[in-house]
Amino acid sequence: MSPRTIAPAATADRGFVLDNVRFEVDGTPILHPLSAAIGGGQVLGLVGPNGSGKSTLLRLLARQTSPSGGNLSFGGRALADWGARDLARQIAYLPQHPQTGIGLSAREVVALGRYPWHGPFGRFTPDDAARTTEAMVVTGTGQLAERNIDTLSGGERQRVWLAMLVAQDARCLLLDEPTSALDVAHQLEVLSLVRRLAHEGGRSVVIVLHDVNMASRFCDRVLALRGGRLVASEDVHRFMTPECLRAVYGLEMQILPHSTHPAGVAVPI
Amino acid sequence: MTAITASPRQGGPAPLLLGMTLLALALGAVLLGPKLPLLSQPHASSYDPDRMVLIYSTLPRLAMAVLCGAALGASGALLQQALRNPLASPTTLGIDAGARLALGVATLFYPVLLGWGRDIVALGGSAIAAALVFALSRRQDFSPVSLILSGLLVTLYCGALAAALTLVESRYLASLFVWGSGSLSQQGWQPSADLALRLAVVVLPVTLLVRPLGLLDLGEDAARSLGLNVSALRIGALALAVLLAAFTTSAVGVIGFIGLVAPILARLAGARGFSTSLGAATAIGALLLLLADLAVQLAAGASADFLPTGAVTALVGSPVLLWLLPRLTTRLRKDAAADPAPSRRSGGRHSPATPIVVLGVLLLALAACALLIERAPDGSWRLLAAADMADILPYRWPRMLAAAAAGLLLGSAGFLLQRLTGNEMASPEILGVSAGATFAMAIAFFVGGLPSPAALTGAAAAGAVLVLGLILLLSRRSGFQPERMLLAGIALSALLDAVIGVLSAAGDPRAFQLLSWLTGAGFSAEPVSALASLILAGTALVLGLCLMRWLDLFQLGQTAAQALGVPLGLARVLLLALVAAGTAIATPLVGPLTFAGFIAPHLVRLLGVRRSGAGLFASGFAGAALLVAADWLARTIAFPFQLPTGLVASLIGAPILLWLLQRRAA
Repeated sequence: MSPRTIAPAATADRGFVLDNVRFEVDGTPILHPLSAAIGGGQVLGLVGPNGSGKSTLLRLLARQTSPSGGNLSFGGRALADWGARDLARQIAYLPQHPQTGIGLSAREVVALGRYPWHGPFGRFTPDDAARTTEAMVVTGTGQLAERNIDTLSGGERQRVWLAMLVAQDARCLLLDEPTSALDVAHQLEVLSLVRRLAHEGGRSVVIVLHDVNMASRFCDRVLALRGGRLVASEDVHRFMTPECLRAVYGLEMQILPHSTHPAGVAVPI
Repeated sequence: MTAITASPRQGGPAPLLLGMTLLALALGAVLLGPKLPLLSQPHASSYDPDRMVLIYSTLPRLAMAVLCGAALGASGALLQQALRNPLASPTTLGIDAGARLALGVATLFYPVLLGWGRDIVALGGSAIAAALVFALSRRQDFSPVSLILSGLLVTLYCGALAAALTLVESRYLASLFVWGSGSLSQQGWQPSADLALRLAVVVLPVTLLVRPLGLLDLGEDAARSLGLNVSALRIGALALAVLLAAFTTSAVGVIGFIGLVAPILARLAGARGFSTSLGAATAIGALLLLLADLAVQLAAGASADFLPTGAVTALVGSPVLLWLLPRLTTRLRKDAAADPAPSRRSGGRHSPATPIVVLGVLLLALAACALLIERAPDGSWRLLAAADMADILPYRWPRMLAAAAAGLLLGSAGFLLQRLTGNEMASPEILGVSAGATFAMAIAFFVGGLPSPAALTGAAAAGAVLVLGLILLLSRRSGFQPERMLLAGIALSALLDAVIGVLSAAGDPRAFQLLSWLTGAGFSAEPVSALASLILAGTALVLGLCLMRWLDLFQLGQTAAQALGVPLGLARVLLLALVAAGTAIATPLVGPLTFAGFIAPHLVRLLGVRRSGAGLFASGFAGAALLVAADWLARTIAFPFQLPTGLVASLIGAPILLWLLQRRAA
């Protein structure tokens, strides 16, 4: 990685640095001062019980809200100093409930992901078109191109949104529970895609997940929150231990070995 | 959904009620104190005018204020609870306006009906208006904003029709004006006794609904799973609220804002649970109106009989609403599920240019009609003779061009606003910019005597710009959220309505001039100004095209747009400025009530245009076609009389719109 330090992609690879970042609403702390470094070409799972501040942390990283205090930087620069489109070329964010009732075709939606590159006045170049097509091929949404996005099933729609994020060509993907509305089969489909995007495309992914076992199967590292505090930041193998899970969920869990889950499967006792 | 931030006080609403009661007592003492001894006098055989006034006018008036205020407060609380919408009220849902229009129509055309029962007429009008509002917002699942916008639309529409009636039959309606603005003045105890009787009938069913309605706090699904028939409950509560409001309206006219403000105040004061807030809202409503009326009587002295209290409450109420807006943290989700019906055409079948070509051809054809088809002096239809062209056309083309320019501007402004807000109920008429223009023109009328058309146009533009600035300033804190702006627009429109109400009630003849302009009756255009407006319209379209990319992204939702690097604040300010400028230019031309900016984008969506660029043009063309057609019909249909252009436009537009919505709902 060191020889490419001049390229913007490489600086971006340095990822997020959080230094005592906190967030509160009307004086009530949602996130207590938190320090961490996030990024580096792998899938990072954000887990924790309900209300632990996972989504808030992700929204802070996506600059959808700004922290109440502390320093949050990305690529060696304070996050607040990035231009809107510059940041969008580096970071793509998928909200938990993407808009519905859009009325555009899948391809049109994916093409909108090129905005950070062509901007409000730039031409939609053949290169933009090619990247749009490529994004749809990578995500397996090519055959949906002409369908109205509102008529797609939940899994298909989620893949179209992921295609838009891919077309955005950002180094870092922030996904807020992309599988919450999907059945198990579609969860596996979407998460496999996310893992492929990270490992084959060299992207960093930060993903909020509800299910510990999904995190165990698809994430490289896990960041666990509880009550707005960071309780674990571990490699997935070290995270999947009874001690660590007890600290996060306050629950006794047993780790069973499993063929498709290298880090094992957690079962409450 | 109805959360209101301002941390509720601990003590509940009691301190507020106590304070208001003390204030009312104090004011009452000032007003009545010197006269009270008259009451204790033994019944004098001789005629004592002071005593008569006290017993048969002043006291019944205060009783009336208490009754009406209580009824309106309760009605508002019922509506807000049943719809889970903190901005619902008889005023904002068009219920008042419907009753007012129905009574106006009855007065003019079927006076017999009034003899039969004012209440029934008012009730009919209210019910129709409410049904219309629900029909309009049904497809957006009654989301708070769409409901309020539909209500405002119906209110504006009823207002336009009432204005037209007034213009045509002004002499019969002078008294309706005073009444329509909510005059509480009384000549006896009979009306208040009647109202009390009617309200008493409603009290029992309301108390029966208190507990089930309280369950709605848990949310619709949870309430249903507790065994509640939610739809039936809603309909029942709405019916009762409409009854309360209609009885009040039929007794004293439209009294705005009490029904909106009382429940909000109750909640801000810390009322929790529906039974408490209903009771508190009822009491606060009664006290509010009583206070307002006492203040009016004290301030206006003998002329209080002619100063409608309802107009005063609206004057005071609109600023209060503006003040409350930032304190409402309603999750005013425009519920992206704006169009869950996947029946929408998938597009791609025809090129995006097709609808534009179709609308363009239609526009040209209508323009040709407007220029060339006329009525002969004997009333028959004929083509303009070639020999007359040189003489006649110079009178026609500027007017036609001005109508087209206004239509272009309103149509494209409406499209921009609907895309920006993601709400298909948004329109420039509602943004308050039109109201600002009208307001400024009203001031020009009353200050400047008889100003020239150019001065009027200037005043209108200044007013529009001023309102825009005000709205931008007010919504800066909310990050220029379009919903907030629309609500601010509602408050401003209501304020304008109140001012016109007061002026008309005072019998000022200039009010009629204002009315005639409101309906677009004074529509005329000089060649220069027509060309200038057309050029401005073209400029606006081009500017709009420059911002297309942003509009496309807004379709993905604000979060996604921001994540893709759209500078949200800047984009909103620029787009809103464009919308406001377009409205400001168009309003002086055709009046504020054409609804072209509302209807055109809907038409475009029905034609299956999805991309923003094509949609902008198509919407502009549709607006222009609508106004050109309206202007032509206004000139010819009632020949030799001329109808107000704006009115004809809304009369053509409303059925089209209902048909559109009906079709899409299927």
